Amino acid sequence: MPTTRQFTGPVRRRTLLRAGTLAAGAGLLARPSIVRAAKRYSIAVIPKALDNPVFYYAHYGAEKRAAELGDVDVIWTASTTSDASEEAQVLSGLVSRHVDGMAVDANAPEPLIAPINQAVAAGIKVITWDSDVPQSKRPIFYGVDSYKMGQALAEQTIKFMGESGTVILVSGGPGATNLNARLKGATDTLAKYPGVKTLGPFFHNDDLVKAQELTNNLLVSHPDAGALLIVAGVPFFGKMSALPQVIKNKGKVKIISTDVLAPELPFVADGYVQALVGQDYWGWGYQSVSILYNLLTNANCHYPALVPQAMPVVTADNVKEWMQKWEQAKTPEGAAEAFKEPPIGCM
Amino acid sequence: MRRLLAELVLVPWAGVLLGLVVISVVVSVMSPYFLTFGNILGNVALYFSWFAIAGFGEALVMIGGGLDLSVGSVMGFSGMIAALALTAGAPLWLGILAGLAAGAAAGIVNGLAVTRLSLNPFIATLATLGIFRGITYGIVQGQAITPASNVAGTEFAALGTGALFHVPAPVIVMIVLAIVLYVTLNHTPFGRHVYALGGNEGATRLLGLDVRRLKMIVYIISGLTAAIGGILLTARAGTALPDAAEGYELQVIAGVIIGGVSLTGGQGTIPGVLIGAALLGVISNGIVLAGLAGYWQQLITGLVIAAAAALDVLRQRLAYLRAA
Repeated sequence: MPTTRQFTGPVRRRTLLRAGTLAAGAGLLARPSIVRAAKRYSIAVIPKALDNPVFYYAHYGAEKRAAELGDVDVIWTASTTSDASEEAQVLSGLVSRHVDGMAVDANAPEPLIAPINQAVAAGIKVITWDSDVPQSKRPIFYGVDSYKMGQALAEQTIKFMGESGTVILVSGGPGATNLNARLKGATDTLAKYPGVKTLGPFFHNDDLVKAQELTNNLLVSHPDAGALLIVAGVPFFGKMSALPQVIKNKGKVKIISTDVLAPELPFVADGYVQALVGQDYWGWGYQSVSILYNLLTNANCHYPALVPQAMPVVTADNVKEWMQKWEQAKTPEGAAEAFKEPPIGCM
Repeated sequence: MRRLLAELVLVPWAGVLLGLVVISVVVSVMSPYFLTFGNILGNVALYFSWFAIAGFGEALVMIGGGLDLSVGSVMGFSGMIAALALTAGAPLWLGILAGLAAGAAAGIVNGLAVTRLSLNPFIATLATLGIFRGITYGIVQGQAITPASNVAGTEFAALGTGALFHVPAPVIVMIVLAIVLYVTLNHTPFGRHVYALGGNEGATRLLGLDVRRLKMIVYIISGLTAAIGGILLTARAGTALPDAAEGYELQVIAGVIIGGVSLTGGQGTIPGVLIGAALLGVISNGIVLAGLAGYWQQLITGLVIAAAAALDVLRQRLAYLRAA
């Protein structure tokens, strides 16, 4: 059962704060006092929204890196819903506050070009993560190439379904840039197989109940399909009992989906979902703070325009190992241990 | 036959029922999976049940001349409060009671804003739409709440996923509520007062009825039905997300209006609302079954809403001609 989604917010935050203060204190003591005794860096990390569980771990990661560095204050803020215009307002507010660095996850690129360029002009170091704003003056995007993720999803589909059959495509919203790039990567790859036909895409609008409804409906109405390729894994964020058709299907129509979050793993373990392709949620926060810190403290530090991120794949072969990781990640300290990775240095 | 048709135009929900039948025939021609017991009850009826349930309360408010834009937020808020209570160790009945109390409290706030602050219902409930959603985000700081898999948590999940004689629990709740509210609206003095209130508020006041009290009651009922819908939705999903049911007010109100409830008050029926919600449910199910790409769903839904409304105007004209 998806117990990692239980309400543990305030407790976690308090522990996190305490751990952060301790580590920050230790960090300051360990550092030669003349170097950065006065200057503290404020780095804002802005996810698409505050309500999506995938971002909790980015938050922990950002706080962890800040605690390790010792002279960084993380500002974790976003619009309450996934809305780019609202996000643009949040960014403008941060420019007025004169933060030192900003790591932005874009709900949609266009509305954010102006505030990002405004921030760069004001001398703020800006990078994007997860979802990019390519037309802006941000020097670096840290994340998975969405097109490549679509390709990976299609490859897993072919691996489990074979080289012929109908593949039903499911996405979140019709306007999301990264989801559309995933769809494009998937359909381009599937087009190489003459025996494969695609149907859709169908949209669940990132609404859990609607996503469950859509998944059930698709399995009822297309029992002869070869596979369900879902580029936004929302249907598996709730309880298994809400997906009776997935249980009934039990792997007949192959199901390939995104994200490798705790609530999704039992579906793989029980054979209902064949493969999940995910992202490094922890890294979104941890590495974004690392990269910005390097840019702020080292004038000679350089990065390529795309700093690529790991893209984990979970199947029946490694699902046990991933379940253990998420079990351990229930506390921020455990998450730091489970998802531990070296900070990205200058390139 | 002519006589039967002539009688039928007098039934307020005949137009929308005809629309439902037409759409259902189209969908069942396009997909053999539509007209199966499992699909109709287990998918279509299940997934429009919370829209219909919230729609019943909304219909009362609108028949009484008001409007409640906050239903989607109240659904999310009540579901969250129920999930929080269960997570804190409350037994099932207490969890449900907490959710219902949250809905009733929301109704009281709406009612007070309309009756005591004399705010226009559109403005008042537009404000509370934001307020209740904001409280929901705030109390959990954006996090999802999943009731543990203990006794109460399992019973709670059964509310959303369980069934009696293959009829899903939320559908049973919907039918029971439809009957209760139908009787209330058509066979009690209170029901007649609600129609009077929406038909002519001034005259209702002159008759000596307590208009403020009537308005308070309809907003509280709307809060309660939204809460019931929200609790069922949360039980079904298995987790309470702070953005649950966001934007659902539009689909609830669309179903209510398609069902023949007048935007200006004084007119509307509970069976109409049930059929209106069913019509929207059939469209969303039908698009998937027919294999149409999702890009067209909003267009088709919009066209059907327009057609249903036009059909109802036609029916009203025919009824008027017949009466004259």
